[in-house]
Amino acid sequence: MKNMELKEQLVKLLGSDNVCDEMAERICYSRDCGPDKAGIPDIVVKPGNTEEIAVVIRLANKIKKPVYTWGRATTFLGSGVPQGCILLTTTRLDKILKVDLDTSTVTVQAGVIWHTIDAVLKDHNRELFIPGGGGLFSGTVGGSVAVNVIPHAITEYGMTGDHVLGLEVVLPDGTIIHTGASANPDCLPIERYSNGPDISGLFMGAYGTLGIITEITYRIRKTPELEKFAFYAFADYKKAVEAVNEIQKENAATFVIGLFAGPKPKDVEGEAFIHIIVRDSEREATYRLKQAERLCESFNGIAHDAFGTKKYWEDHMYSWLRNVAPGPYYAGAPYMCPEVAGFMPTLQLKDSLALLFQYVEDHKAEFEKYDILIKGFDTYFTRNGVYLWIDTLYNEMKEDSWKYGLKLRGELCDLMYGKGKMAAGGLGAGVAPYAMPKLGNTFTFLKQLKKTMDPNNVLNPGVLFLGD
Amino acid sequence: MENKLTTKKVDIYACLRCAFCYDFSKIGQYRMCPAFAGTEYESYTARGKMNLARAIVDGVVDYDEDIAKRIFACTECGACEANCLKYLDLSGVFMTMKEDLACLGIIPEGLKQAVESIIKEGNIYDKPQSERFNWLRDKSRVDGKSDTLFYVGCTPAYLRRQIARSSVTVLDKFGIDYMLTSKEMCCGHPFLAAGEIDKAKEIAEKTVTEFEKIGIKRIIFDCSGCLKMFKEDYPKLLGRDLPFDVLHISQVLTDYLREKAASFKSLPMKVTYHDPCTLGRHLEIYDDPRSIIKAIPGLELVEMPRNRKDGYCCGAGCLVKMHDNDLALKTGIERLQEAEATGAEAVISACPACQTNLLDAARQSGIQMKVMDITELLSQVL
Repeated sequence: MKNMELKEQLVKLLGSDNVCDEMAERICYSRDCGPDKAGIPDIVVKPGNTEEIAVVIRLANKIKKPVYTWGRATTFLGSGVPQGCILLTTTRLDKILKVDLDTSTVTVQAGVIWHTIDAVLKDHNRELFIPGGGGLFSGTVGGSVAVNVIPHAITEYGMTGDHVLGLEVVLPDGTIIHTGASANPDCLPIERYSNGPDISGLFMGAYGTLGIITEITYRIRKTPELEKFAFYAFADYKKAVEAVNEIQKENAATFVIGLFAGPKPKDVEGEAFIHIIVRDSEREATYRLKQAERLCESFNGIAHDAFGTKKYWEDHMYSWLRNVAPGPYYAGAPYMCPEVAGFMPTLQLKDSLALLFQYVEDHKAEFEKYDILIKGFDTYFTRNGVYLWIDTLYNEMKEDSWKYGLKLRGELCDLMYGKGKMAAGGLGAGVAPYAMPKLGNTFTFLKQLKKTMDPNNVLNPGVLFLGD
Repeated sequence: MENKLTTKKVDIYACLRCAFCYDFSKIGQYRMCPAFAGTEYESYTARGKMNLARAIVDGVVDYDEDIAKRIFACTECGACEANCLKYLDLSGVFMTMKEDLACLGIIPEGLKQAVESIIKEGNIYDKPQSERFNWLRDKSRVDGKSDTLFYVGCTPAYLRRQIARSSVTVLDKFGIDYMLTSKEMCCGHPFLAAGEIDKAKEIAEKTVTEFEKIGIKRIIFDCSGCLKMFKEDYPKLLGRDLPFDVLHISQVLTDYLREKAASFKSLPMKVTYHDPCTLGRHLEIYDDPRSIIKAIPGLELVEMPRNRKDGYCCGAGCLVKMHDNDLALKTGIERLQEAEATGAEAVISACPACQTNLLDAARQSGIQMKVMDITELLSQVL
């Protein structure tokens, strides 16, 4: 179908205000926050509801044209927008549909911004089970769930997907389904694992390749009574890791963040740094923090002012982890991040960091030649392990620096997903080719599943490396 | 034509595309960018425009009418820049794009007319310069003797005359000495809005020279847009500091109230205050208008969710109203709905452009709210 004809059809379906084929528009829906260049769509559409999304998908299947679903595109790992696709933005799916204080749930459309929900819930003394979400706070709920973003407070509260009760999804053939607790329209959503097999999990972490998430029902809870903060410096990074391992075993913290490379926190000496946040009743928060502090000190941690920890929790601005206000930390530098990240057992972090430090040492001259910086080897400690971000920076203004940054990412993927025994967390078009083949039979199965569910390869093709 | 945008390459390449410039999500379900709110297309956001800037410097696209539409839809409310993660000079990039577009002659018709009107008549309304003080009953202060000038501005002089009248009423009542000048003409902001930097420089030079010549040491403004032009843009255009102080009328009146007692009639009413982007976010003057409101017995001030540095644009900025009134009204209606939701009977502002668009928004939407300038409010209770 020629583009003019496609536009006419889409205008008939969605209205002329919601379809645009001007280059000045299309070019804005290509790249995410990461280093990967991407294609330019042929046309941008803004459906206003799930039914409109479904009709677009059915049309896309009819003409065998790929569709890319776009929230706010704040991933760092490659958007994977295919050249010439239909770009479907969820911007108009922006309603908070229901807040149910009795069943402690909230149901929202996919285009709602995560932080927005917390702002609305505040009036009820409630918060999302993962308050503040993960990644950049400008991300949508749909995108956050579709990528299963690594969230704040993962140490106690777990992963983004853990608290999804049900989804509304448009399948690759345009069928609309509801999953989990939302699957039976006559019943209020209670527990995720109701109404048969857990299909919700199929779409979380699938990056929109198996279905487009259009509605999410999420757990909420009463805001904890008290928040307490601590910040420790360690002369030996291995001791820091061991200290946190003990904190995890004691369940002594809600959120533990570790800094193992990159700029040191301002005015603090040490090799590794641990931020601790505890949220609980007054009695429990006091007790748990004391536990965490005792454990840090037993591994020679030195306590410092935790103002940066508190500021980071409050406004999620990353610079506070290094005790620096956002302005001076971020201002103007044209550096971008070819991120590599993943999960591993806490104690394994010691070996993985050793690997990374050696890698950096071995490539020191190249890093200097190609203007590569280390942003950080920073971690969110999970319930039983650690999520490590290997964040280097290349100079966006220098083509050779960019090329080296991409090569560096590939090498770090090979290193960490291989010898480093790291399980991929963040995926996306840039990283999936390194991570997905490691899954063996599971990868084969996922490719078969994609082929079965999406025989025309319409939804976000190539994003998770599930094509032929 | 070599575009000037290449001089902004560092900022353009530094844009992370983080989308912090889209929403006031921490306040609630509120957009930040009025052009994005009105169109729901990414190209209208700061991130979108930076994408366009990148595409232009990389030679992927050229300036055209479609790009111009997006650049000139910006009210320059400043919310994007105030919330930019990388502290980028967004307004500088977009201004440069306007300059390039102006060189190519690709500017909206409404802006072209405003530019021509200033050149011909010294105001944006294409009305004779001789009528600039028709609103003023007692003309004894025109070209009078004072080192304080009351600068009226085009919109109060020709359109929102009640603001001009209320301002002089209040200044007279408080015994503040001032003069007006028959040499007053447009501050030149529309030239900047249209990317006509040279014309803006010319009018700035002419104005400052004239005011210096007549011995002006202080200028009081009732229009926050004109104030911002003088305070922030004139020094940049001229490469030198101004030889006089510049103040908004609310600052002058607040200073007066601090030093001398004044008695006002009681006015029992719930009001909310709309921070003009120029006075608020750009010049960081938030408290003076609020102090005036709080000094009036009976008035109860309730804040909108988007207030002070998180204030939302009225939609009229940068003369968007002159070339895309639909978009301006959409924004104005959204702002008025936010004001209405506070339960207030009136929304007070401190900018004639804000008042114009909010009044139009009230007419268009049927929202029953009074829209008043701070000077009108004060003149009612003296």
